[in-house]
Formats: sequence, structure tokens, C-alpha cells
Amino acid sequence: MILTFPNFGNLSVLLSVLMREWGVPFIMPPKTTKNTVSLGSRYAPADACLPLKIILGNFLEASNKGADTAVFLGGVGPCLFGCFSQMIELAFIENSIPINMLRVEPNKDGLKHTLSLIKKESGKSLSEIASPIFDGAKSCHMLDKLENRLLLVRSTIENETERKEFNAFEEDVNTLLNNAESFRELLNIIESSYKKAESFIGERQKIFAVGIVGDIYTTIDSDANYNLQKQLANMGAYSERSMTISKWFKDKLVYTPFGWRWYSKPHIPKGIGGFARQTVGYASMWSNTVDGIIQVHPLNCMPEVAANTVLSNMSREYDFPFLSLVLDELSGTSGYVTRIEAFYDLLEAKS
Amino acid sequence: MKIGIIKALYYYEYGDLWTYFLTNLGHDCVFSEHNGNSSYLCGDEACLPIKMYHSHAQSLISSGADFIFSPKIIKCGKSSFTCPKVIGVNEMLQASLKPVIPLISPEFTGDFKSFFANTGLLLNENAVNIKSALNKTLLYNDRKVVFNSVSKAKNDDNDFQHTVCLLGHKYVVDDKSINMDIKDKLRRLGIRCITSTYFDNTFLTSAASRALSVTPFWITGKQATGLAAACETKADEIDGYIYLSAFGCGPDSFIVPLTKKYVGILSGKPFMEISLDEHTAATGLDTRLEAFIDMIKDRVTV
Repeated sequence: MILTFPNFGNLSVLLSVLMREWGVPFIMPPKTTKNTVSLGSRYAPADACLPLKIILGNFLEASNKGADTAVFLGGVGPCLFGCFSQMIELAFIENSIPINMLRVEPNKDGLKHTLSLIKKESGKSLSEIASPIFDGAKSCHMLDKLENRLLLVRSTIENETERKEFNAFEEDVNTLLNNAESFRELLNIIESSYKKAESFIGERQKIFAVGIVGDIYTTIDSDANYNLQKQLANMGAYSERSMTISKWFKDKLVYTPFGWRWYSKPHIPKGIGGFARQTVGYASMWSNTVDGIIQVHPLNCMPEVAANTVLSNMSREYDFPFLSLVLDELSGTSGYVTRIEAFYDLLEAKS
Repeated sequence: MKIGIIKALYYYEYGDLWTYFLTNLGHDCVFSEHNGNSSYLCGDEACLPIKMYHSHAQSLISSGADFIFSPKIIKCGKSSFTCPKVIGVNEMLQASLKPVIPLISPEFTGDFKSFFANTGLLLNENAVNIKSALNKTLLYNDRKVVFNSVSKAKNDDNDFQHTVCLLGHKYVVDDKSINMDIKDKLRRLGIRCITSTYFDNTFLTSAASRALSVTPFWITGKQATGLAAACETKADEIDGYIYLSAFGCGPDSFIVPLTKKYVGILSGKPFMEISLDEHTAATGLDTRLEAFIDMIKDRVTV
């Protein structure tokens, strides 16, 4: 059984290291490109949201490279994400694609079933399977910190030559991360890259702060949102996201009524599905401290449409620049870049 | 007191019960109207039913009502959700319309008793009045006429030659301002329509789960797949299927391919999907209906 999983920001790195530690054979999906999206759009329903098409494209490309089992989360509504595994399985069956779906249900029985499968495939005992989890959790947190540090350094660079050198450095770091054999090695790579990045700090004087909110897949995965954060950093705006992998895990493990929950109370007091509450909560929390807010979501994302109405009115009330970016498989890069440049001009004009 | 009721979204599913309950508590019910295009109120991306809801709510604000009844419909039963936009529509109303009249929004998760008890408490009624109005409403609900059978639903109008099954959300199929009174258009072309109003939700849900191994977890999905399954049991009495969907509907992106595949595999009957938004022109809809009906009539003669 050769596993594969979809691309999802830093999670791909974490999962590949975990599979190597467990000794389970897997195939890392190729980087998401325009071809991936068009491949997924061919087999997915036409009106479905963009993450489904990207995930399906990832699975199909991995299947071409030899994977025979696709791992994905099951789910319960009302957001369309709960139906993804069923729609993907239907697409595989209808088009006779030689790959099975392994659905991990987010409840007790589902986890037990998955654990027993892992034990069989890796031949390891329960304690050996559980031992990388601590280092894995630390790596998750440190990977997000490294990402933010690299973005901050990038936003200080004004000179083209220096930026090219920094791009090459970041490529090397990514290659090292993708090929790490264990979590210890991963943590070492992260630490040394963190220190080396300081030597690239540039001389830009004015850097803006931008908050990025929206649907979880399109904010976290940089290939899905056309490298939004890198583009902003190249122009001179440092951005942070409302959703990261480590934040999502921490939120699930420890409940706190403060933070975004507190700030979303006057607008959306109870969850409506998806991540609408987080979008509105973080935007409200950051409204005084950042220079602008960008909401990124796929077309037809139901909770984000509700959050969009609330946010447009909030931006008028609290007076902050607000841009709503809608993604689908027909988006062109130039139209995108134009909007971001116009947003940056607005930030400059307001300052 | 005067209570405004919004004639959109789940009014078409439970509206008669709400009106009956509030009237039995002694209040006057005022109904909303659609007064033109309101897409500027809630953003362009929302689907047409949500825009209609905003437009209706806007008309009630200037009607002089004391409260607006706008319940928060989360679920209609076990694993039968509504769409997130519908769950969050009150928050959208508060943000975009900033209504000066307070909204009454009890939560509905499938149980009528707790829903109506909550409504009564929000209106500051005493327990005796709430209980008596609730009992009368539940009795009214039990005695509503549903056919639960395709043949009985067909005998409703006897002198039509062809029958078409209209699938889709109730608030799209039954709302004349969204679908330009499609049932009337079909009646004039000599076609009888069967919609999900002839069946009750329990029947449709069980029909859907018997027919398909994977049912979508939205109530509208269970209604559509259940209706298609019920019609397929009397396959020789149905001549075609039309699915009315709103452009931008999230659940429909899964439900429509599923229903199309199910109907197509079982019977190979003609299946047409019509996508509606506020730019739909009446002529375009007429042309498509006439072409579909010609196809049905030609099929039968062969």
C-alpha cells in the first residue's frame, strides 16, 4: 500500500517526515501548478469550490507516479468540506482511476481503525508509533515561526540582486525540509535557517503590516493563493495569517474564550460552519494594529460569503482598508497582481 | 403586537406553522414583499435566495411592525443541515441593514416543541398561552395533507398528458419571484409538475437513504434525492426531470451531479438543470422549457 496525501502548506513536509519515521511507503504529491488545477477541474463537479479541484489534482498526479491509496479526512457538515472525500471517491470510481480512498473519520472508531492500519504497514509497536509525536508538534510550531521569519526578512529587501540571492536561499531551505529524514533533523534545519536568514536583512525603511483572513485552505496553501504573502513581502508589506497549522491544532487542544472568540461575539456569536467566525474574529482583533486586511476565499465558499458581508461593513465602521480576493480555477495571475498592487497603493496613500 | 414574517428561504418549508402559532398567541402577522433588486445590500457573491431575504427584510423595516421574526434554521433533523449562508443570514442582516426593529431569532434544530417554546419566551408570553398555542400548532401540523405517493400526487390535476418532476430547494421551486412562475409556464404548455410539497420530509429522507449509499448531509439534498427516488419507483408515470438551482449554491454543486447520475443510470430520462440568478431573462427560460417539452413529446410518440 503506497500512501499519498494532498498538498496543504507546511503539512506536506510534516506528513512526509512522519511517514519516513514510521517507515510507511508513500509518494509526496508534486507541487501544485496550473496543470494540477486543470486536471482536477476535469473530473470534479463544475460548481465545486477550488480546494476540491486542487486536492483531486494532487491525488491524480500522485497516482500517475505510483500511489495507490489516497488519505483524506472524512467530515460532517454543513460546509462542503465534509463531502470532499465522497466526491473524490465518486470521481475515482466513475473514471476508473486505479487509486483507493482511505477515509480517516474524526471520531474514536476512525482513529482506532487508522492506527491499526499504520501498525500493520510499518510493523512497529504502539509506543514506537507514538514517539515522534512530541518532536512533530514542536516542528509544526517551529515551521510556522520560520515561515514568518523568512517573510519578514523578505519584506526588508529592496534591492533586486539581494532578492535573487534570497530566493535561491529559500529554495535550498525548501529542498532540505522536503528531504528531512526525521523530526530531529527537521528541527536542526529550521534552527540553522532561522540564523542564516538574518544575514539577508535589507535596508527598506517603511514596511506595512497586513492581516490575511479567510477560508483555511486558500490562506494556508501558498500555491492555491498565487503566493500572495510573498508578493506582498516583495512590495514591502509583512503579512500574518489568521489560520496556520499550529494555530489550528492549538485551538483544538485548548479551548479559550479569549482571542478571536471574544472579538467575534458581537458579529457572529455562534459558529455557522467553516471558518467564518475565525475570519471575523481575527479581522476585528487586528483592526487597530494592522494597516489593512485581505480576505482570501474560493468562489462559492458559503461561510466566507456570510463573513464577507460582515467584514465589508466592519471595514467601513472601524475604518481600515479591506480587499476581498476570490479564487477559482479561471483566475489569471495578472488580474490578481493588479489588485494587490492597487491595495498596496491604498496603504501608501493612507499612511 | 404586530410581527413581521419574512416570506423567503425557510418560510416555504415551515411558514404556515409560524403564522399559525403567532396568530394563536394573539399577535397580528404582517408579511413582507419583494420590492426590487437588493444585491447592493448583501454583496454580489451571495446566491439569489439570500438576496431575496435581504430585500424582503428591507420591506418589513418600513412597515411599522414591532418585531421581525427571522429564525435561525440550523438543522431540520438528524444530519440534515441547512447551508452555512442560511445559518448566518441573521448576522448578515444585522451587518448590512442595521435594522431599527429588533429581530426575533429562535434556533431550530429539528424539534418543534423547543423551537416554539423559545419563540414564546422571547416574546415574553406566559407558559399557559405558549402551551396551548403549541398544542394547536402541532395538531395542525399532523393534519396537513400530504400524498406521499406519486400516483396520488398526479391525480391532483387530471387532464394533462405529461408529467415532469421539479427538483430543487423549496425556496427556489415555490418562490415565484425567483423562478418567474415556472409552474404556471409549464401548466400552459400542458405539463403537470410534481414537487416535494406533495411529500413529507420523513418519507423523502428514508427514500433517499434506501436508494443511495451516500446521501448528502443537507436537508435540501435529502429532499431532492428522495424525490427522484420516489419518482423512479413509478418510472412510467414521469416523463422528465428539471432541476432548478440558484447560481452559486454550494450544496447543489454536489447534489446535482449525484441526482443526475442516479436518474440517468436508472431510467435514462431527460434531465435538465436550470441555473437562476438575478440576470435571468424570461425569454431565455421560455426557450429552454419549450425545447425540453418538445424533446419529451417526441420521445413519447417514438
